[in-house]
Amino acid sequence: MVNAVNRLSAWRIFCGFMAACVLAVPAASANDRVSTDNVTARLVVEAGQVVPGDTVAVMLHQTIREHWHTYWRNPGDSGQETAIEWTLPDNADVGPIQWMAPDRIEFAGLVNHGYSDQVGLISDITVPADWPAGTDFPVQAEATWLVCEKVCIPESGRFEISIPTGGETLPNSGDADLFAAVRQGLPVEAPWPYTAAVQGDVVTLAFQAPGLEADRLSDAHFFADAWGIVEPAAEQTLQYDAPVLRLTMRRGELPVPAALSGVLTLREDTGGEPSRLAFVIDRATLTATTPAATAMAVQAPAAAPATPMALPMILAFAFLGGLLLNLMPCVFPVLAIKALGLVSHAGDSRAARLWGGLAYTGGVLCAFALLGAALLMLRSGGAAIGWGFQLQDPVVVALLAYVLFAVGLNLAGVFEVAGSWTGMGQSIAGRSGTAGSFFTGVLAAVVAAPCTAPFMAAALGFAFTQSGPVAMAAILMLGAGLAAPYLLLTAVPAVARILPKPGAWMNTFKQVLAFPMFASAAWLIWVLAQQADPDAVFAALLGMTALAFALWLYGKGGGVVRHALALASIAGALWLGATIQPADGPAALVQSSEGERFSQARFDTLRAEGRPVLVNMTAAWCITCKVNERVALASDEFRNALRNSGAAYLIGDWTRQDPEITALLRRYDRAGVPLYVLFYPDERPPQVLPQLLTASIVVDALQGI
Amino acid sequence: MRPVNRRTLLGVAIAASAALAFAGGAAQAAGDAKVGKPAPGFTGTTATGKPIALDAYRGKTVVLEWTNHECPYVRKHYGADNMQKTQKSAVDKGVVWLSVISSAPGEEGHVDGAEALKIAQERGAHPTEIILDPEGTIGQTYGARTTPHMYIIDPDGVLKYMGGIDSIASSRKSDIEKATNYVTVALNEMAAGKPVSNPVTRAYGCSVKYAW
Repeated sequence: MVNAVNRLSAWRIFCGFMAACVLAVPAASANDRVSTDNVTARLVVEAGQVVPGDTVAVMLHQTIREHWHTYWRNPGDSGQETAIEWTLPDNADVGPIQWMAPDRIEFAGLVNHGYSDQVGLISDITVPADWPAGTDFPVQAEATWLVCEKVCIPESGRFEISIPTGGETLPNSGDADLFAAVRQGLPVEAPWPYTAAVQGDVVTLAFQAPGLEADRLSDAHFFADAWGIVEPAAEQTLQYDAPVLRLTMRRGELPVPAALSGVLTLREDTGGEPSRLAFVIDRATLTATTPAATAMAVQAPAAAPATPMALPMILAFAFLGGLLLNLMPCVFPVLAIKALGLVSHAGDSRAARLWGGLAYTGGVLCAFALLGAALLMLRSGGAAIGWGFQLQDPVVVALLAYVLFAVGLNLAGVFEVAGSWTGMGQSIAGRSGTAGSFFTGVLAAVVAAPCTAPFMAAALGFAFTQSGPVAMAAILMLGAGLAAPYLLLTAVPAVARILPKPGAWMNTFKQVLAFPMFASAAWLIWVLAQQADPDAVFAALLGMTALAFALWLYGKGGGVVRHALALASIAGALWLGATIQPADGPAALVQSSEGERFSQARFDTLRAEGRPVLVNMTAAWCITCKVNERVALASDEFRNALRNSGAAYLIGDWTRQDPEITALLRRYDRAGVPLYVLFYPDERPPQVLPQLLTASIVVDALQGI
Repeated sequence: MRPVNRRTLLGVAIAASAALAFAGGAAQAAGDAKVGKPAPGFTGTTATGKPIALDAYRGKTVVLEWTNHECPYVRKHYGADNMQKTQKSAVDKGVVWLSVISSAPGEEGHVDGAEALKIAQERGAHPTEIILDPEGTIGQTYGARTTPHMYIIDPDGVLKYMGGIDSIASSRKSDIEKATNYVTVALNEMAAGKPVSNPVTRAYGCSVKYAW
């Protein structure tokens, strides 16, 4: 190797004079290190061998002279970002630099964004699939960087390495820890929805972050992706006004852009060693309005990249979505029944029909408007909710299940409602028919809303990143789409004529339509089961039984005793519904089906059985915990490794400082959460995992069992 | 954060308290210069030792160039004869070109008047005047952050441009011909009575070596 390096130095000198020889460098050569007066730079490959077609991480690692620094992608007031120019074989691909979260570097009133001591800049290189396995893959990189203390020196380095290829991926022996450490420094997806606003010279970044403890947070700083957006040297202030965490900063010199992107860094004191967190802020839509209005425009971080959509597009999609809603299993029966009503009253005047259609449309729109207004109001109050928010409350879910079940019973013929809001009663014509149509519309919207949650969430989620009026317009368009087919039937006689002739089939058809309603109710009970414990599911089912009893009694008609019994049963059903409590504890905190709730007794039992145990101590207010859960503990790699290891996974909720957990934390010299400890089945001492996790850290630990 | 006026800055400098300098510093970087607003007035001393005031140039277009002859980015533009050419074409059209040196004593690029004149002569520069600003007063007022950092003031005293010399932030001379020279473009647009197309750009380079 020494020889090779020497030969290569000669090559480099030669190349200095002949840039054209770049392509002629022998594949076996290696020059992975460049030292200048201020920086020692290495080009490091993560894998020891790569399979053609796969991606391999390559890192430019800089060890920087004390007191000197190199720069982030937006260098701040002065300076220049490190750049790498790659020369790769044809069809190879290289991704952008994955920048570690920068530090704020102050000097004489100016602030730079960069790195001291050391930094690793990882890029992913894809080896083409048609690369002959067994042949080394040559990588050349020309890196330029500016390194500054007080004075600045532009430096550069030329690297030439070759990556062995073959039929399987092999690890690189020496540098796994370096890659793990650098990845810990990469910003991760923010754990909360966020929004941005600008007012005069002040830019505000607001997070919907319920349950935090403000005095645990410090050193918050937002690094904008590009120059001119945020003033690097101006002070930034973090405020927590539960549930909104707000960072205010001073605007930069450029005009306000459409969206704010960058990295937020934050120090969290979790009781033990403080952790430095770094979150990606990806295109937070900037609104130039009041903070109250922007609170409505919460952007879900998990949502697909928000390509700016024009208002007509949003509205068109909402209308189309509304049309589709007519086909949902919980909506279609309602619409079908309304249509049957038209069939059986084919003799009605055209005006009466149109009036019914308009009333139905009005009912749908009113219900949607009310729902939208409630949503926007809750939003502006700071609740982190989205479309389908009503389904987050198990009581509401149970009541909706009641409604769908009752409609199903009605369709099945268990009872009839005089002047029924399903429109099958005698009084379809005339005034009560108008009211009937209106309430059918309301009913359609009410039963449609839960159905929309899973299907429409993404589209409406986007609408909610817009201003209040736009969101409301989108909701109303959704309603208009829902109402449109029936309105069309009533307004255009030609369309109504395609409906089949009335007959005995109508009753059968009506009864068949009961079953989609029952299926929808079953789905809601399944939703309820995710949110609450088995007792709640039992209460809801019992309530439905009481409801069925009441409606059956009502259907039989008759005396005071029967009516009283029916009312008592309904009251009982409602009481049962209202007793439903959301399941408390870590289920809401940690979305992990693998985990069990920690208790000392459970822990002791598992240990006595000789099972390996992974303990995760967390708290609702702990951001570090949440980030770890998202980045590492929600990953498939983790789940698979956990399953293969046979380890039990115990999650302890320290939100209210449970004394059993405090005792365990003390045993591991922690004053707070998070704490991750892996207990082996054998005599080995338990392994305490780092406070900031990556998937590979946990997976490696589990594989070590 | 409220802008800090010059008197406050002076007070900070006199107090020489590290803590105060830090707090003031955060605001200093932003400066008072805003495109479309009257350029902040200043007085100073030229390399030849005579007093100079911005007001005296009312009626003419003025270019301010922050410079530090030891900074690699300044050397890029002087080494490639780019800054000199930009200066000459401006001065030939009657533009006043003021090169400002805000390096503090003991810091990189700090020179006395004689040295400043010698350097200008050696590199064939064509500034109308060179202003020595070792206390950084003018630099802080304008929020000059880098060398080079360029400002253009119109004959009415309104700031029309602030930012970089050109569009490619690098220390490579070879990038100059690929880059758009923002100063030349802005001066031409102003001469033609058009609005400046890029009135604020990223100034790139070394930091201005203010007193620490």
